[in-house]
Amino acid sequence: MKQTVTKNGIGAWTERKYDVEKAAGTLAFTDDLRFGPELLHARAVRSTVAHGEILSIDFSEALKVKGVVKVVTGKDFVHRFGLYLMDRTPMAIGKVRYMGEPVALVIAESEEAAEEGMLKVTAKYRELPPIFDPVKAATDNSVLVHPELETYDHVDFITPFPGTNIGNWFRIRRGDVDKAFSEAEYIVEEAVNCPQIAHGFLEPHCCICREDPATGDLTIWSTAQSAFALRDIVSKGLKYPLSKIRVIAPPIGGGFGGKAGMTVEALCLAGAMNPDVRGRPVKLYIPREEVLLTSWVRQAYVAKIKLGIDKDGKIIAIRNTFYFDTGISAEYGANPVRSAGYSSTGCYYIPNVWTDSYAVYTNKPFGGAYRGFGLPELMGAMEVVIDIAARKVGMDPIEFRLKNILKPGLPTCTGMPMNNHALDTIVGKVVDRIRLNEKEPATRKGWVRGKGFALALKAPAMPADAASSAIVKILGDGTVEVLAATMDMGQGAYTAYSQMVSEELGIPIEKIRCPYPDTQSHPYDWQTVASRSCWSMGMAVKRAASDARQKLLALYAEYWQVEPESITIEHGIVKCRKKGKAEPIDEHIQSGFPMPDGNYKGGPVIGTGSFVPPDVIYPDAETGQSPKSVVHFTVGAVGIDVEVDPATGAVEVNKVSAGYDVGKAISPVNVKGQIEGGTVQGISAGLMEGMYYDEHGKLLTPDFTDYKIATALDVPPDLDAFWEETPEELSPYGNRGVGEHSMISPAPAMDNALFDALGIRIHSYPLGRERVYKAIQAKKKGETDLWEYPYALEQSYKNAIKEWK
Amino acid sequence: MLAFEMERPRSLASAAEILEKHGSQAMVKAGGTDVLVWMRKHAVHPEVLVDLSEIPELKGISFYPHRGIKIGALATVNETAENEDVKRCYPALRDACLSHSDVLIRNKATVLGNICASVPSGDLIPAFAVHEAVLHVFGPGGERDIFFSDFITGPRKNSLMPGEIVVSATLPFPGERSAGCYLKLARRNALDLAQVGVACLAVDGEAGRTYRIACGAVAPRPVRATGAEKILEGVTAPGDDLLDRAGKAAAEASNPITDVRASREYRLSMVDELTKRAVALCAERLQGGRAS
Ligand SMILES: Cc1cc2nc3c(=O)[nH]c(=O)nc-3n(C[C@H](O)[C@H](O)[C@H](O)COP(=O)(O)OP(=O)(O)OC[C@H]3O[C@@H](n4cnc5c(N)ncnc54)[C@H](O)[C@@H]3O)c2cc1C
Repeated sequence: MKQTVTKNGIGAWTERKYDVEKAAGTLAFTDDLRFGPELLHARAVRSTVAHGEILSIDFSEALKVKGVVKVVTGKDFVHRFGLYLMDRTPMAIGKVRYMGEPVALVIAESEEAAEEGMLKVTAKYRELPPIFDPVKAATDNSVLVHPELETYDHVDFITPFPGTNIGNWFRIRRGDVDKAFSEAEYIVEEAVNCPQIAHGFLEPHCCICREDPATGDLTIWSTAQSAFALRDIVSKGLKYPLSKIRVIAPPIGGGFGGKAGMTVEALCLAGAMNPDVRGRPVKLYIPREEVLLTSWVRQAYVAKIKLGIDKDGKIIAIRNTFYFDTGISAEYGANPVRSAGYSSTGCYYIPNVWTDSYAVYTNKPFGGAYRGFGLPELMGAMEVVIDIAARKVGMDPIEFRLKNILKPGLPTCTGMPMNNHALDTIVGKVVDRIRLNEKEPATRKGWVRGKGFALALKAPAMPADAASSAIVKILGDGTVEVLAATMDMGQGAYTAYSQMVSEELGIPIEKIRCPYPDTQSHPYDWQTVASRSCWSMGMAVKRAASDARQKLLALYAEYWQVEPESITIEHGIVKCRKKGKAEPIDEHIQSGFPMPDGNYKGGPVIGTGSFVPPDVIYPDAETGQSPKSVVHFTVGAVGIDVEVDPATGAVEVNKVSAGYDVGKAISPVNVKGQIEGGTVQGISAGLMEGMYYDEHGKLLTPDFTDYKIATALDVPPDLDAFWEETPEELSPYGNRGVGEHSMISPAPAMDNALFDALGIRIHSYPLGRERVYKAIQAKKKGETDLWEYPYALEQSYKNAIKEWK
Repeated sequence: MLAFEMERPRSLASAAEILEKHGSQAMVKAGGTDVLVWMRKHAVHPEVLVDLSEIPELKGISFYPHRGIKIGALATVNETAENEDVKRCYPALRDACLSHSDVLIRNKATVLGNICASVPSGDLIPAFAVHEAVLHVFGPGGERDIFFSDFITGPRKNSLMPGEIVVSATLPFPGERSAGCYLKLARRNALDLAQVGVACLAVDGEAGRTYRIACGAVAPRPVRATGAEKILEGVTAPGDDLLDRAGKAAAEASNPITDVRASREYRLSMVDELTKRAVALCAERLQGGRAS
């Protein structure tokens, strides 16, 4: 029998935690914290060449600026950091590898003085030839971004190739692709590319670090998604005990992967741990213009996919070559490469698979985690190629997809059986809701209309042993504090955890509080990434809440001299109907119960819960095969209805329908929010986002003047977000990850819709107005496909294409 | 941003005095939506910022029937867009205001700040060009007027002398029977700088129909497409052929660059397209006998 009753448990539509503080403007973000006159400010000096040896750095003039306290350079802080591959130093040492790389840090009494000091530092370089094109960098070793690659530590499940520019090479070898291709009726071989894109979070990175000069203890306040991963990375990089590092993560203003792992903290530590500075807190606030030069963005990619299809339209073989442009660091970017690799048959069952997924170093700012983590890249290409293939085979693209769909139980490309899902139901709903099979006239005069569709899939991409733990404390008045070190950055994790705790404890959600992470008070959680939190941390929170409930019931049972099973907790009131008892939870829960035997028992009731996925096995390095490569896959589909102005290339989205099989929606308001938000982010990426460089490697789109993301006016007026609930077996409430998924496939759905509208295939993202206009012009000249390559790199891409043919 | 001082004079005379005293170290600030961004990006380095916001003579918008409208240096873009006389007689100016940035920025940004910034993509520039505005300037040498066609001399360059402040601008009354519009193309639907902007003003005067066409973001200086204007002169209902010719002529008058916002080729095609659309729109509006 269920012993708890609540109105705001699992599946309830509730208010969201922290919305009131956010609306009122009283929630303090990292930059809002005050440290008094002790505080010093740091500002990075950045390289002006993309690749070069540092000959000298002259900061004598900077030291003359009033208020400048110290200038440190890379040589003063020789530590390598990285989540999966330790290829990153906070400042260049000896050599710069991209334009904008920090070469020195100016520390001063005020922000203004730090800035003035920064402008007075000069560095001299001996320039080296740079490499910007990932295909060239992967196939020709004339320029090596990291000649020292073999000396870098890395986790076992990534495979860097010293002597090349390959930071990770993930492979799938399954079946016999050559044989299958030779037997195939149709061969389709296509490529798709996309530039780097930026997260565009509202709050730039900000960090304050202080070292206690007496003990060496470090305190870090930072805009971090993952307080504990940050502590781990700093600890490994500095060879420092975990217990001497405290990370406090105040609320963050958006992350999308851009604040996972360790971002700017080591650079700040280079200042705070300097012997001349130590003891004073040092603040490093990254100005908007420098965000994209300081931490990672989403990797650019060139994806080449070859499909072999039999006469019935069954895909029998696939060969994938993915070049992820990871810039100068693959410390985090190595893993989306793996994630795309082990999902590289998409939502389809394909018996013969050959995949090479490469993280390629180039002399550009670096790539790393971004919502979707390798899957928007994979699906951005795959779902376009599937559309092309369907047409080549002469099948309806939906029919072709359904024919090849990865049904529950069928093996994915790693050999792992697919979990249960209702993808066919979702496909049916999306097709109906955007009337995919109906050709409708444009609603705007002179425009043309088209509709497109794409499937999505993603598994949490994380180490096999990504663990979580939580503490649930019942306080002396029946309110509850939940310590779960997830960062709620808008996705609504704390609302979901409160609902879980409410479900398990029968205490109303208003009485439940989830404070933001502090490694000193919270128990360990690996990271807030991978759409894993409601699942992995959810397991820990559920266990902690049930633990607290059992302790509470045992205490009341003895107190009232009844069986624990006869007690219920209803809306915060503990009841025993048999005995006619009904009492609100009070101080006894904290101070102990005076038991009938005359002794006090209990003391503060604290529930604990830990979780680690029990059965994930890393894919084999040579073949990528594993009986359980990931914990589960969440699948879904997107349909888009668009119109194009043929005279300008302007695209307007009429309607989007997007559905995912979430297993169980713990917090529907947040699931809806995640699907809507991710869909908009995906449309934005697909329509207009891209980072562009000039021929010297200078970033031309450093801030929002020229890095454009969709505004409210670019978003479809009609966005239909829905979900199905096929429960996941190993899961707190049957739920699966859903945070990232909605970002994955709007871009390919848009590409397919534009093909439907225009009759020409665009192979390069983003699908901006000028590019769409060019495609329309190309179509008039009889072209069937449009290829472009990011800006100044165009020529090398054209050469690369030739080499492929 | 580097440290700087800000002065907030209460009269034009004292503003001029401060400007004279600090010479090239000083810069004028109206709404500050350009100048503060430039300072942040280290594009300009004024030690003293002279904030005009407390100078009464610079405020307001006044309409003088049959003569024109006078826009003060402190009139914000939103204030201008919402002005009843602007709505009635200056639709190209109003369109331009509404195409500028977003509601929040428009509450700060001034119309004349946009003109004085003299950035090729400035959205108010084509409207000022078709209305043949006159700028009223106060400076160390006293007062003078500058025709708008002589004002902008290059990207971020204009003919103001050191110490001079634009007090207001007059946009002459276009006539009872006139129509205007400003069409802007950008990378997204809000908050973006123009890849191309085209303003058109069509007037039915004593000598018949005349058109004025100006193109923004397509040359170092504002472009008046006089060739296109001549092609259309006297034609009240231009057909496709004529529109095509006018569009081509406007493109010929333009000389855009390729940058990260758009290529030269795309800009040229879009000048052509937007010109056709703007002219057709104005002609259509006058067709119904409705002024503006
Ligand atoms: C987020 C954002 C979006 C923007 N979007 C657009 C857009 O869509 N379209 C567009 O055209 N612009 C845009 N801008 C640029 C800017 O807002 C405009 O150019 C604005 O109109 C400038 O007006 P201001 O009052 O803010 O000028 P300020 O920044 O105060 O001044 C601009 C320049 O003019 C000079 N100046 C100002 N007033 C006078 C005067 N009376 N006499 C002499 N010199 C003077 C200043 O010294 C300075 O050089 C945008 C800016 C931002 C920050």
